[in-house]
Amino acid sequence: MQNQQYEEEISLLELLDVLRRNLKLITMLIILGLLSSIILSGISFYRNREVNSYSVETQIILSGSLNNEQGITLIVNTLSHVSSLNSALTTLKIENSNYKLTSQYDSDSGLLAYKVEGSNSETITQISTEIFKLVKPIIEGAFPSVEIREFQTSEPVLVPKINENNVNWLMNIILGIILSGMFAVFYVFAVYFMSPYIITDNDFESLFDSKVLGKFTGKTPKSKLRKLLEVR
Amino acid sequence: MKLLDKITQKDVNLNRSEEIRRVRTLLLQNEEVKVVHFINSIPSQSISKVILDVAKSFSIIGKKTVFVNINLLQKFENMTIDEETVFNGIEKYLFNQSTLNQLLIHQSENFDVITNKDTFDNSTDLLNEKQLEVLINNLKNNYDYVFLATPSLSECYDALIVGKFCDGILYVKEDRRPSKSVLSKHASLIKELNKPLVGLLISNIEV
Repeated sequence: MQNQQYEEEISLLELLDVLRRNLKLITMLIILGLLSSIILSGISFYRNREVNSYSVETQIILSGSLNNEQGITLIVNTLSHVSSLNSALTTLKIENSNYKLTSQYDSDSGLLAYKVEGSNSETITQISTEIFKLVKPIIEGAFPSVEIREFQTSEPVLVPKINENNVNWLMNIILGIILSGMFAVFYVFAVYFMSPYIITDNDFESLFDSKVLGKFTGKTPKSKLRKLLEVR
Repeated sequence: MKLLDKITQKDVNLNRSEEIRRVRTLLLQNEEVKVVHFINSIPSQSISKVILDVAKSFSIIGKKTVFVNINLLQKFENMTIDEETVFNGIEKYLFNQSTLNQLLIHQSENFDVITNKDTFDNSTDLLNEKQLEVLINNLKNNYDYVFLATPSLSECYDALIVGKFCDGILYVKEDRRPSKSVLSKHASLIKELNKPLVGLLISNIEV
Protein backbone atom coordinates (compact mmCIF):
# COMPACT_ATOMS: atom_id res chain seq x y z
CA MET A 1 0.00 0.00 0.00
CA GLN A 2 2.81 2.31 0.97
CA ASN A 3 4.63 1.37 -2.21
CA GLN A 4 1.56 2.06 -4.37
CA GLN A 5 1.17 5.51 -2.87
CA TYR A 6 4.83 6.20 -3.46
CA GLU A 7 4.57 5.34 -7.15
CA GLU A 8 1.33 7.18 -7.83
CA GLU A 9 2.00 10.54 -6.22
CA ILE A 10 3.55 12.71 -8.92
CA SER A 11 2.78 16.40 -8.59
CA LEU A 12 3.66 19.29 -10.86
CA LEU A 13 5.82 20.74 -8.10
CA GLU A 14 7.75 17.50 -7.96
CA LEU A 15 8.31 17.58 -11.73
CA LEU A 16 9.54 21.17 -11.52
CA ASP A 17 11.77 20.26 -8.61
CA VAL A 18 13.33 17.41 -10.62
CA LEU A 19 14.10 19.89 -13.41
CA ARG A 20 15.48 22.45 -10.94
CA ARG A 21 17.80 19.88 -9.35
CA ASN A 22 19.11 18.86 -12.75
CA LEU A 23 19.41 22.37 -14.16
CA LYS A 24 23.17 21.95 -14.51
CA LEU A 25 22.80 18.77 -16.55
CA ILE A 26 20.05 20.30 -18.72
CA THR A 27 22.18 23.39 -19.34
CA MET A 28 25.14 21.18 -20.29
CA LEU A 29 23.03 19.22 -22.79
CA ILE A 30 21.62 22.44 -24.29
CA ILE A 31 25.15 23.81 -24.70
CA LEU A 32 26.15 20.54 -26.38
CA GLY A 33 23.15 20.85 -28.71
CA LEU A 34 24.06 24.45 -29.49
CA LEU A 35 27.67 23.49 -30.27
CA SER A 36 26.50 20.56 -32.42
CA SER A 37 24.19 22.83 -34.43
CA ILE A 38 27.04 25.31 -34.98
CA ILE A 39 29.42 22.53 -36.07
CA LEU A 40 26.83 20.93 -38.36
CA SER A 41 25.95 24.32 -39.86
CA GLY A 42 29.66 24.92 -40.47
CA ILE A 43 30.02 21.56 -42.22
CA SER A 44 26.91 22.28 -44.26
CA PHE A 45 28.22 25.74 -45.16
CA TYR A 46 31.53 24.25 -46.29
CA ARG A 47 29.84 21.56 -48.37
CA ASN A 48 27.42 24.02 -50.03
CA ARG A 49 29.99 26.69 -50.72
CA GLU A 50 29.85 28.34 -54.13
CA VAL A 51 31.79 26.47 -56.82
CA ASN A 52 32.98 28.36 -59.91
CA SER A 53 31.50 27.12 -63.14
CA TYR A 54 32.94 27.67 -66.64
CA SER A 55 31.50 27.26 -70.08
CA VAL A 56 33.05 26.92 -73.49
CA GLU A 57 31.09 27.37 -76.73
CA THR A 58 31.97 25.72 -80.01
CA GLN A 59 30.58 27.02 -83.29
CA ILE A 60 30.53 25.02 -86.48
CA ILE A 61 29.75 26.95 -89.67
CA LEU A 62 28.47 24.73 -92.41
CA SER A 63 28.34 25.70 -96.14
CA GLY A 64 26.11 24.24 -98.81
CA SER A 65 22.52 22.98 -98.88
CA LEU A 66 21.02 22.02 -95.53
CA ASN A 67 17.60 20.74 -96.55
CA ASN A 68 17.83 17.37 -94.79
CA GLU A 69 15.70 18.07 -91.71
CA GLN A 70 16.07 14.59 -90.27
CA GLY A 71 19.83 14.91 -90.49
CA ILE A 72 19.81 18.28 -88.68
CA THR A 73 17.61 16.88 -85.91
CA LEU A 74 19.97 13.92 -85.56
CA ILE A 75 22.99 16.21 -85.26
CA VAL A 76 21.34 18.56 -82.73
CA ASN A 77 20.10 15.58 -80.70
CA THR A 78 23.50 13.93 -80.79
CA LEU A 79 25.13 17.10 -79.57
CA SER A 80 22.65 17.44 -76.72
CA HIS A 81 22.58 13.77 -75.74
CA VAL A 82 24.20 12.65 -72.53
CA SER A 83 25.80 9.65 -74.26
CA SER A 84 27.94 12.03 -76.36
CA LEU A 85 29.17 13.69 -73.21
CA ASN A 86 29.79 10.34 -71.52
CA SER A 87 31.65 9.07 -74.56
CA ALA A 88 33.90 12.15 -74.48
CA LEU A 89 34.47 11.73 -70.74
CA THR A 90 35.37 8.06 -71.21
CA THR A 91 37.84 8.90 -73.96
CA LEU A 92 39.44 11.54 -71.74
CA LYS A 93 39.30 9.17 -68.71
CA ILE A 94 37.41 11.69 -66.59
CA GLU A 95 35.34 10.13 -63.81
CA ASN A 96 33.49 13.19 -62.58
CA SER A 97 30.27 13.55 -64.54
CA ASN A 98 29.36 17.01 -63.27
CA TYR A 99 29.33 18.50 -66.80
CA LYS A 100 26.55 19.85 -68.93
CA LEU A 101 26.15 19.79 -72.72
CA THR A 102 23.66 21.90 -74.74
CA SER A 103 23.35 22.60 -78.48
CA GLN A 104 21.44 24.80 -80.95
CA TYR A 105 21.14 25.29 -84.70
CA ASP A 106 20.35 28.49 -86.58
CA SER A 107 18.94 27.55 -89.98
CA ASP A 108 19.27 31.08 -91.39
CA SER A 109 22.96 31.42 -90.83
CA GLY A 110 23.75 27.68 -90.91
CA LEU A 111 25.42 28.01 -87.54
CA LEU A 112 25.56 24.93 -85.36
CA ALA A 113 26.70 25.62 -81.83
CA TYR A 114 27.14 23.58 -78.68
CA LYS A 115 28.14 24.56 -75.16
CA VAL A 116 29.97 22.52 -72.50
CA GLU A 117 29.72 23.62 -68.86
CA GLY A 118 31.79 22.38 -65.93
CA SER A 119 33.91 23.36 -62.95
CA ASN A 120 37.27 22.82 -64.65
CA SER A 121 38.08 25.30 -67.44
CA GLU A 122 40.77 23.12 -69.05
CA THR A 123 38.73 19.93 -69.11
CA ILE A 124 35.67 21.52 -70.74
CA THR A 125 37.87 22.63 -73.71
CA GLN A 126 39.13 19.05 -74.10
CA ILE A 127 35.58 17.69 -73.84
CA SER A 128 34.42 20.18 -76.45
CA THR A 129 37.13 19.01 -78.89
CA GLU A 130 36.23 15.33 -78.27
CA ILE A 131 32.57 16.03 -78.99
CA PHE A 132 33.50 17.71 -82.25
CA LYS A 133 35.47 14.56 -83.24
CA LEU A 134 32.35 12.53 -82.46
CA VAL A 135 29.89 14.69 -84.37
CA LYS A 136 32.06 15.35 -87.43
CA PRO A 137 31.51 11.91 -89.09
CA ILE A 138 27.77 12.23 -88.41
CA ILE A 139 27.65 15.61 -90.24
CA GLU A 140 29.65 14.24 -93.12
CA GLY A 141 27.34 11.22 -93.35
CA ALA A 142 24.07 13.19 -93.11
CA PHE A 143 25.12 16.00 -95.52
CA PRO A 144 27.52 14.62 -98.13
CA SER A 145 27.29 17.88 -100.07
CA VAL A 146 27.91 20.08 -97.06
CA GLU A 147 31.33 21.20 -96.04
CA ILE A 148 32.46 22.19 -92.55
CA ARG A 149 33.74 25.63 -93.30
CA GLU A 150 34.82 26.73 -89.89
CA PHE A 151 35.25 25.18 -86.46
CA GLN A 152 35.80 27.57 -83.60
CA THR A 153 35.97 27.02 -79.82
CA SER A 154 35.77 30.02 -77.49
CA GLU A 155 37.92 30.60 -74.43
CA PRO A 156 36.38 29.27 -71.18
CA VAL A 157 34.05 31.85 -69.65
CA LEU A 158 33.17 32.08 -65.95
CA VAL A 159 29.43 31.47 -65.45
CA PRO A 160 27.85 33.38 -62.55
CA LYS A 161 26.02 30.94 -60.26
CA ILE A 162 23.51 31.66 -57.49
CA ASN A 163 23.95 29.38 -54.46
CA GLU A 164 20.44 28.31 -53.54
CA ASN A 165 21.55 26.17 -50.57
CA ASN A 166 22.65 28.96 -48.26
CA VAL A 167 22.99 27.82 -44.62
CA ASN A 168 20.48 29.41 -42.25
CA TRP A 169 22.69 29.74 -39.17
CA LEU A 170 20.08 31.36 -36.92
CA MET A 171 17.44 28.75 -37.73
CA ASN A 172 19.90 25.88 -37.16
CA ILE A 173 21.03 27.31 -33.81
CA ILE A 174 17.45 27.87 -32.61
CA LEU A 175 16.54 24.31 -33.69
CA GLY A 176 19.67 22.98 -31.94
CA ILE A 177 18.71 24.70 -28.68
CA ILE A 178 15.06 23.61 -28.83
CA LEU A 179 15.82 19.98 -29.75
CA SER A 180 18.62 19.59 -27.20
CA GLY A 181 16.41 21.22 -24.53
CA MET A 182 13.61 18.75 -25.31
CA PHE A 183 16.09 15.85 -25.26
CA ALA A 184 17.56 17.03 -21.93
CA VAL A 185 14.13 17.25 -20.26
CA PHE A 186 13.16 13.84 -21.67
CA TYR A 187 16.48 12.32 -20.49
CA VAL A 188 16.09 13.71 -16.96
CA PHE A 189 12.49 12.52 -16.59
CA ALA A 190 13.20 9.14 -18.20
CA VAL A 191 16.12 8.41 -15.88
CA TYR A 192 14.33 9.80 -12.83
CA PHE A 193 11.04 7.96 -13.25
CA MET A 194 12.35 4.75 -14.82
CA SER A 195 15.24 4.30 -12.40
CA PRO A 196 14.77 1.22 -10.17
CA TYR A 197 16.60 3.12 -7.41
CA ILE A 198 15.53 5.87 -5.06
CA ILE A 199 17.35 9.00 -6.16
CA THR A 200 16.39 11.72 -3.70
CA ASP A 201 16.40 11.86 0.09
CA ASN A 202 12.77 13.04 -0.01
CA ASP A 203 11.67 9.84 -1.75
CA PHE A 204 13.62 7.76 0.77
CA GLU A 205 12.09 9.69 3.67
CA SER A 206 8.53 9.45 2.37
CA LEU A 207 8.87 5.71 1.80
CA PHE A 208 9.96 5.08 5.40
CA ASP A 209 8.06 7.99 6.93
CA SER A 210 11.19 9.08 8.76
CA LYS A 211 14.04 11.60 8.38
CA VAL A 212 17.53 11.12 6.98
CA LEU A 213 19.80 11.84 9.95
CA GLY A 214 23.15 11.42 8.25
CA LYS A 215 24.87 10.88 4.93
CA PHE A 216 28.32 9.35 4.72
CA THR A 217 30.72 9.47 1.81
CA GLY A 218 32.33 6.34 0.40
CA LYS A 219 35.90 5.65 -0.57
CA THR A 220 35.41 5.21 -4.30
CA PRO A 221 35.15 8.55 -6.09
CA LYS A 222 32.66 8.91 -8.88
CA SER A 223 34.03 9.40 -12.40
CA LYS A 224 33.64 12.92 -13.78
CA LEU A 225 31.55 11.72 -16.71
CA ARG A 226 29.21 9.84 -14.36
CA LYS A 227 28.89 12.91 -12.17
CA LEU A 228 28.09 15.00 -15.23
CA LEU A 229 25.40 12.69 -16.59
CA GLU A 230 23.89 11.75 -13.25
CA VAL A 231 20.24 12.67 -12.67
CA ARG A 232 19.63 13.89 -9.11
CA MET B 1 40.37 24.56 -11.38
CA LYS B 2 39.47 22.87 -14.64
CA LEU B 3 36.06 23.57 -16.17
CA LEU B 4 34.93 19.95 -15.77
CA ASP B 5 35.94 19.97 -12.09
CA LYS B 6 33.94 23.15 -11.55
CA ILE B 7 30.87 21.70 -13.26
CA THR B 8 30.95 18.37 -11.40
CA GLN B 9 31.78 19.76 -7.98
CA LYS B 10 29.18 18.66 -5.40
CA ASP B 11 27.12 21.38 -3.84
CA VAL B 12 27.49 19.90 -0.39
CA ASN B 13 30.78 18.82 1.08
CA LEU B 14 29.98 15.76 3.17
CA ASN B 15 32.32 15.64 6.15
CA ARG B 16 32.24 12.23 7.82
CA SER B 17 32.98 13.27 11.41
CA GLU B 18 30.58 16.19 11.12
CA GLU B 19 27.82 13.83 9.99
CA ILE B 20 28.54 11.39 12.84
CA ARG B 21 28.27 14.24 15.36
CA ARG B 22 24.99 15.27 13.76
CA VAL B 23 23.54 11.75 14.04
CA ARG B 24 24.70 11.57 17.67
CA THR B 25 23.08 14.90 18.53
CA LEU B 26 19.79 13.88 16.93
CA LEU B 27 19.84 10.52 18.74
CA LEU B 28 20.61 12.18 22.06
CA GLN B 29 17.44 14.25 21.70
CA ASN B 30 15.43 11.00 21.81
CA GLU B 31 15.79 10.38 25.52
CA GLU B 32 13.69 7.19 25.58
CA VAL B 33 15.87 5.49 23.00
CA LYS B 34 18.79 3.79 24.75
CA VAL B 35 18.94 0.54 22.80
CA VAL B 36 19.46 1.49 19.16
CA HIS B 37 19.20 -1.17 16.50
CA PHE B 38 20.89 -0.48 13.17
CA ILE B 39 19.11 -2.34 10.39
CA ASN B 40 21.19 -2.69 7.24
CA SER B 41 19.51 -2.80 3.87
CA ILE B 42 22.27 -4.79 2.20
CA PRO B 43 25.49 -6.47 3.34
CA SER B 44 28.08 -3.74 3.10
CA GLN B 45 31.40 -2.93 4.72
CA SER B 46 30.70 0.78 4.44
CA ILE B 47 27.43 0.42 6.38
CA SER B 48 29.12 -1.60 9.17
CA LYS B 49 31.83 1.05 9.42
CA VAL B 50 29.23 3.83 9.77
CA ILE B 51 27.42 1.92 12.53
CA LEU B 52 30.63 1.36 14.50
CA ASP B 53 31.69 5.01 14.12
CA VAL B 54 28.33 6.28 15.35
CA ALA B 55 28.52 3.93 18.36
CA LYS B 56 32.08 5.03 19.18
CA SER B 57 31.09 8.69 19.02
CA PHE B 58 28.80 8.23 22.06
CA SER B 59 31.68 6.95 24.20
CA ILE B 60 33.72 10.03 23.29
CA ILE B 61 31.22 12.30 25.03
CA GLY B 62 31.34 10.16 28.19
CA LYS B 63 28.37 7.89 27.55
CA LYS B 64 29.04 4.32 28.56
CA THR B 65 28.45 2.54 25.29
CA VAL B 66 28.43 -1.04 24.09
CA PHE B 67 28.32 -2.17 20.49
CA VAL B 68 26.81 -5.63 19.97
CA ASN B 69 27.41 -7.35 16.68
CA ILE B 70 24.75 -10.06 16.39
CA ASN B 71 25.77 -11.06 12.89
CA LEU B 72 26.41 -14.79 13.07
CA LEU B 73 26.70 -15.10 9.30
CA GLN B 74 30.17 -13.65 9.04
CA LYS B 75 33.16 -12.56 11.09
CA PHE B 76 33.30 -8.97 12.21
CA GLU B 77 36.08 -7.33 10.24
CA ASN B 78 35.64 -3.63 10.86
CA MET B 79 37.63 -3.66 14.06
CA THR B 80 41.00 -5.14 14.94
CA ILE B 81 40.92 -7.26 18.08
CA ASP B 82 44.22 -8.10 19.79
CA GLU B 83 45.11 -11.76 19.44
CA GLU B 84 45.86 -11.79 23.17
CA THR B 85 42.37 -10.57 24.06
CA VAL B 86 40.40 -13.34 25.70
CA PHE B 87 36.68 -13.22 25.07
CA ASN B 88 33.76 -15.45 24.25
CA GLY B 89 31.71 -15.02 21.12
CA ILE B 90 28.07 -13.94 21.51
CA GLU B 91 27.00 -17.37 20.27
CA LYS B 92 28.30 -18.89 23.55
CA TYR B 93 25.95 -16.62 25.51
CA LEU B 94 23.06 -17.53 23.27
CA PHE B 95 23.83 -21.21 23.92
CA ASN B 96 23.95 -20.46 27.65
CA GLN B 97 27.64 -21.30 27.81
CA SER B 98 29.06 -17.95 28.86
CA THR B 99 28.53 -15.01 31.22
CA LEU B 100 28.11 -11.46 30.07
CA ASN B 101 31.52 -10.36 31.38
CA GLN B 102 33.24 -13.03 29.31
CA LEU B 103 31.76 -11.50 26.13
CA LEU B 104 33.01 -7.97 26.63
CA ILE B 105 35.93 -6.67 24.60
CA HIS B 106 37.10 -3.46 26.19
CA GLN B 107 38.02 -1.07 23.38
CA SER B 108 38.47 2.23 25.15
CA GLU B 109 37.16 4.11 28.11
CA ASN B 110 33.36 3.91 27.97
CA PHE B 111 33.36 1.70 24.91
CA ASP B 112 32.94 -2.07 24.83
CA VAL B 113 32.24 -4.43 22.01
CA ILE B 114 30.49 -7.78 21.89
CA THR B 115 30.79 -9.84 18.74
CA ASN B 116 30.75 -13.40 17.44
CA LYS B 117 33.74 -15.72 17.10
CA ASP B 118 32.24 -18.42 14.92
CA THR B 119 29.95 -18.15 11.91
CA PHE B 120 26.75 -20.11 11.25
CA ASP B 121 24.69 -20.47 8.10
CA ASN B 122 21.42 -21.00 10.01
CA SER B 123 21.84 -17.96 12.25
CA THR B 124 18.09 -17.27 12.57
CA ASP B 125 17.52 -20.68 14.19
CA LEU B 126 20.31 -20.00 16.68
CA LEU B 127 18.90 -16.71 17.96
CA ASN B 128 17.47 -17.79 21.31
CA GLU B 129 14.96 -15.01 21.93
CA LYS B 130 14.90 -15.53 25.70
CA GLN B 131 18.67 -15.37 26.06
CA LEU B 132 18.81 -12.40 23.70
CA GLU B 133 16.27 -10.52 25.78
CA VAL B 134 18.26 -11.26 28.95
CA LEU B 135 21.47 -10.09 27.30
CA ILE B 136 19.98 -6.83 26.05
CA ASN B 137 18.26 -6.08 29.37
CA ASN B 138 21.53 -6.67 31.21
CA LEU B 139 23.37 -4.37 28.86
CA LYS B 140 20.65 -1.74 29.16
CA ASN B 141 21.12 -1.76 32.94
CA ASN B 142 24.89 -1.44 32.70
CA TYR B 143 25.36 0.98 29.80
CA ASP B 144 23.99 4.37 28.78
CA TYR B 145 23.68 3.30 25.16
CA VAL B 146 23.46 -0.12 23.53
CA PHE B 147 23.97 -0.32 19.78
CA LEU B 148 22.89 -3.50 18.01
CA ALA B 149 23.99 -4.60 14.55
CA THR B 150 22.55 -7.59 12.67
CA PRO B 151 22.89 -9.10 9.20
CA SER B 152 21.19 -7.06 6.50
CA LEU B 153 17.49 -7.56 5.81
CA SER B 154 18.43 -8.67 2.30
CA GLU B 155 20.34 -11.63 3.75
CA CYS B 156 18.03 -12.93 6.49
CA TYR B 157 15.41 -11.82 9.00
CA ASP B 158 17.63 -11.87 12.14
CA ALA B 159 17.11 -8.12 12.34
CA LEU B 160 13.38 -8.63 12.90
CA ILE B 161 14.04 -10.95 15.85
CA VAL B 162 16.59 -8.60 17.44
CA GLY B 163 14.37 -5.62 16.65
CA LYS B 164 11.81 -6.77 19.22
CA PHE B 165 14.19 -5.84 22.04
CA CYS B 166 15.32 -2.40 20.95
CA ASP B 167 13.97 1.05 21.79
CA GLY B 168 14.49 2.51 18.36
CA ILE B 169 15.62 1.59 14.87
CA LEU B 170 18.04 3.32 12.52
CA TYR B 171 17.74 2.07 8.93
CA VAL B 172 20.89 2.28 6.83
CA LYS B 173 21.16 2.04 3.06
CA GLU B 174 23.86 2.75 0.52
CA ASP B 175 23.61 5.54 -2.01
CA ARG B 176 21.17 4.35 -4.72
CA ARG B 177 21.19 0.81 -3.32
CA PRO B 178 19.13 -1.33 -2.91
CA SER B 179 16.28 -0.92 -5.41
CA LYS B 180 12.93 0.77 -4.70
CA SER B 181 11.13 -2.58 -4.53
CA VAL B 182 13.57 -3.96 -1.92
CA LEU B 183 13.33 -0.74 0.10
CA SER B 184 9.53 -0.89 0.02
CA LYS B 185 9.64 -4.44 1.33
CA HIS B 186 12.03 -3.41 4.12
CA ALA B 187 9.83 -0.43 4.98
CA SER B 188 6.79 -2.65 5.50
CA LEU B 189 8.81 -5.21 7.52
CA ILE B 190 10.08 -2.46 9.82
CA LYS B 191 6.57 -1.05 10.17
CA GLU B 192 5.35 -4.48 11.26
CA LEU B 193 7.96 -4.51 14.04
CA ASN B 194 6.02 -1.69 15.67
CA LYS B 195 9.17 -0.03 17.02
CA PRO B 196 9.98 3.66 16.48
CA LEU B 197 12.09 4.32 13.41
CA VAL B 198 14.27 7.11 14.77
CA GLY B 199 15.96 7.90 11.51
CA LEU B 200 17.61 6.91 8.25
CA LEU B 201 21.25 6.86 7.27
CA ILE B 202 22.79 6.79 3.79
CA SER B 203 26.31 5.46 3.41
CA ASN B 204 28.85 5.14 0.61
CA ILE B 205 27.81 8.31 -1.18
CA GLU B 206 30.13 8.80 -4.12
CA VAL B 207 31.35 12.36 -4.55
